[in-house]
Amino acid sequence: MTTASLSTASPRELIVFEGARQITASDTVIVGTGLPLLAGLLAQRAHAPAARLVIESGVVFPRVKPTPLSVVDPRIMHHASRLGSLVEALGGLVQRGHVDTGFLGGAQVDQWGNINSTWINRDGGRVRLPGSGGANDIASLCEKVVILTDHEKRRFPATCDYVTSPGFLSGPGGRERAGLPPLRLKVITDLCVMEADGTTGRLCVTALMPGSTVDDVVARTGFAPDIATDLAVVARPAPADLALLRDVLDPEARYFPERRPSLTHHEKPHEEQGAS
Amino acid sequence: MTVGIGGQNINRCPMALVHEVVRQRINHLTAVGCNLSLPLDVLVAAGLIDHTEQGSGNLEKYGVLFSWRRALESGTVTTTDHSHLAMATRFLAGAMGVPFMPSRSLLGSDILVGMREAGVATLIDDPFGSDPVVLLKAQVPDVALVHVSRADELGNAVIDGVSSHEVDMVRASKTTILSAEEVLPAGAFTAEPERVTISAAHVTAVVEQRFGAFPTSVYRDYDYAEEHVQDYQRRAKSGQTSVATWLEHNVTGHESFDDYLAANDPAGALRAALERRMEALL
Repeated sequence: MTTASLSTASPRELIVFEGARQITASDTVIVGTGLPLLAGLLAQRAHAPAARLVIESGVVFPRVKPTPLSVVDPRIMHHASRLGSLVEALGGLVQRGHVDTGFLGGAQVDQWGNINSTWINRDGGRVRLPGSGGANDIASLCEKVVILTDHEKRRFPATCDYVTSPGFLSGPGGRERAGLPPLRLKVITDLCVMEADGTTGRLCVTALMPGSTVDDVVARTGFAPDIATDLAVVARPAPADLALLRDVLDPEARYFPERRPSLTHHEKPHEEQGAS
Repeated sequence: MTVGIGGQNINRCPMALVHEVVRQRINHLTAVGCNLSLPLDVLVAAGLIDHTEQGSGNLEKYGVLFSWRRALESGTVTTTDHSHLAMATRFLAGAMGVPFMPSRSLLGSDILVGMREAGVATLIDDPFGSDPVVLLKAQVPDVALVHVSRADELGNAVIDGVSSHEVDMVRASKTTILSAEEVLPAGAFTAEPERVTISAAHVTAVVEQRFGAFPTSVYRDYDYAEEHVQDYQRRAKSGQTSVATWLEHNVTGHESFDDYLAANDPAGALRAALERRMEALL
């Protein structure tokens, strides 16, 4: 495991900063805990102070204290405008159309942007994961979805073993045929940014993380992704924003064990998990 | 028997009620809920569960439910996966006394395939429009188990913090057993009845159990005991033998939940610390 230097953002921190850039002006976004929550908080404190957070458990527009490890953590309920219910958050806000962007993780993301967080086929058997949580609802109903995940070959198969949450299903027109609303999808990893919309229906690399190459992406992806001709490079965060993330939002590095001198808890940077 | 389980992840899980189910060895249960958490894993580890219907089975950062995972992978427990909104909508239908409720979620997913096979969802064209819509069958548990912040003797209950799926689940259930941090005299909420989260109209029984959600949190009362959650997860992960020992030491080896609390925290220092930690967060 690499140790992040003090002055530059680690690859997983870069995921959070690029995630935060997806939130603009007065967006309402639904986030789980972990990197998506940190991205939402960064946006609020840096460039989008009017952005509002919704948490699927029923927490509406909170001011969060560091560092919640759960969607029902008392730290995430702090100074909310309302503490309600799942049906209010996922039904009354997401399904009703009051949420602009949904942030998700996922154990597997395939070439069509479908997410699997339920069953993985492995060595002739099946490995059980937590399941959807609110992820299916967010992917079905939000018109903009941002997936934050580590870039590993096993996480990016050609086709998901099980479609928990829909991307473009079988490709262009897939969502329309199923009766789902249009979607703009962005996948942000420690190597690159991939995007897809209803026209392409397939993930296309549109930007690289600083220091990574197309070869790195191809080597760690289980399908051949489309590559944009005008590849951008993701900007590094300003020192003040990096300090904000490290000193204010996650001061104990609960989501960045690679930054802690010694691991006191048996945790991995990324548990395979659903939205909650 | 279908049991609706309250709580979510590390918050307000009905641990005292579930320990009692384990002591009484009430088995062949179907467990339903949105996020099924520690209570479900304890019931699975005790061998009391046949089938589960849920949006998710995990403790987020603290991992999947390991006993449940083993049981699903080996086939000793079966499951019908939902999304959180799908299960919340099924409870809403049950709470409203109608046979089903529509949703625009689930379309095109393998979750919908499984729910249709299980006979709890179907697909129609919107009779007032043109797009497909999913109909979700009402979920009516035989009994709901929920831990609340405060209740009066009649069963009127106040939940502080988020209420996840619990209010509709209770309204949908045939019977409801509540545990409460504190049970107050009848009429305790009449000055501010709008603060009542769950009306006594839906409640069958209420029992006072201080720290009844331990090691999970109760908003405004106490924070969750992270080290106890992690300890359970370590044991559940390492296998059935290990989790069976946990059950013996923490559930079946005690006559009451208070005995279990006392055994884990003899002088009450941990519980006092959890209360102080919550106070500092408010």
